Amino acid sequence: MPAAAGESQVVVFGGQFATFSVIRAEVNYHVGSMSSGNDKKQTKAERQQAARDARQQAEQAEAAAAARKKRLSLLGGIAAAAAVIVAGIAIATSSGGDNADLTGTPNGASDVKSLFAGVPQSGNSAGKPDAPLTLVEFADLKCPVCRSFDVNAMPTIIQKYVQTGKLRIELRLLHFVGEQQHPGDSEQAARYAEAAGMQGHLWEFAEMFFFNQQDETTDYVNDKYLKWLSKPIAGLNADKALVDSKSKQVTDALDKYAKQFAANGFTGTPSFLLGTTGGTLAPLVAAGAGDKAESYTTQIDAALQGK
Amino acid sequence: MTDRRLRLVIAALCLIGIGVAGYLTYEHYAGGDVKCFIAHGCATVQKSQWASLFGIPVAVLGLIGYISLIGSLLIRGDAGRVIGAAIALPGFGFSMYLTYRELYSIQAICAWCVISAVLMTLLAILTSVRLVRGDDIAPVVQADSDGE
Repeated sequence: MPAAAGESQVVVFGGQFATFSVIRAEVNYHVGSMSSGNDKKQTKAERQQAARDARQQAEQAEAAAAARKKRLSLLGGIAAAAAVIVAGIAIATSSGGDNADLTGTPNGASDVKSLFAGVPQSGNSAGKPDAPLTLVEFADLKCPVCRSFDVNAMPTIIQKYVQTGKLRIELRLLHFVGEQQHPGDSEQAARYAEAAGMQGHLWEFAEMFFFNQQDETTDYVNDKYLKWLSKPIAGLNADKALVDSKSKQVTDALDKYAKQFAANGFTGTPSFLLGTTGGTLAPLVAAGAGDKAESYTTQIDAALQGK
Repeated sequence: MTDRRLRLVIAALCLIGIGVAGYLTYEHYAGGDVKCFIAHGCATVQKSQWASLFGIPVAVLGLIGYISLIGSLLIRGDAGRVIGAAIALPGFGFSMYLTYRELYSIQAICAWCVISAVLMTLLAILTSVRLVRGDDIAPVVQADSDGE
């Protein structure tokens, strides 16, 4: 039983297909005449197997290519969706995110221009340096009550006293409004204004800010916004002010104002000091509504009487 | 690189990302000034109007992104790969947008944000490769049956 012996050897050789074939071939050789028919059969079987293998391989390759194509189109779909999402975010944050339309001219540009035309400005002050009286305002640019005063009462005071050389005004900026919800927003504005003062434009900038002030609970101060407000102010280099706003000089000035504010016992803005230029200044309390010029003019007139 | 290796690298990058975004999130809520190395614009960037998206700090969004990306690695099969790419690709796009804002709108660069942008770029590439390659278990099984 050579064939049986051959079969048993397959087991001995570990069941490998190649080994099995060799043994089968040997067995066939010994059997003699039967071998040629078996050989042909074997080759045919092998050919069929090879064809089957080739077909299977082709099918597998096709399936793999199809799967790959599917995966690529899936990736393309995800990439397209990602692009749409990011574009949506970009549009939402650049238009809706800015709380102002920064394409037009800011409010109050012409008022501010005419208010300070011919008025000397230096550092945080405006008006003739040797004007008999000095009025100091402590304010926060994001404070709505300050806005009421600076938009409604201050222009009259400037026209009546500053333009005529009787009063010099100083603005000492604080930054506490919205510090909890939007840390740094008010400070960024104050820093920039103080830096604009280094170019002699603090008051113009502050008035521009008040004329365009927005909801104090929102976060709207940024470089783009500050630049936009600065545009109508002739001679103010916004890029330089942005750089200067981060300087130690500005930090020191704001620290000094905060100390002076506390030293005078003030607790809210706007708060005022009035007195002889170069002399002692005393707190000035509005005699009436805070946003009416008359609430201050009587006291300024009285102080001027004594000059 | 096998799918297993890709998963490991993605997980490692996500862990770094969680560290960075976690630190920025902590600083955001603690209200401290972000410690910056190399460039000095971190506090400016963190306090800019682009530091939040619809009221959510971007650091928190990053943290959520990295954590869910790691989570997607636990999902077997194509679903996990699709979710991974679906997180990393928008994350990459958003990172690029924020970097653009840093350079042109805020004009300050935050090194932490740059690290996160680089991580998101790598993650977008790796998750895409993973998705296109598919599983490597299937071809291995095929090879075995061929050899029999």
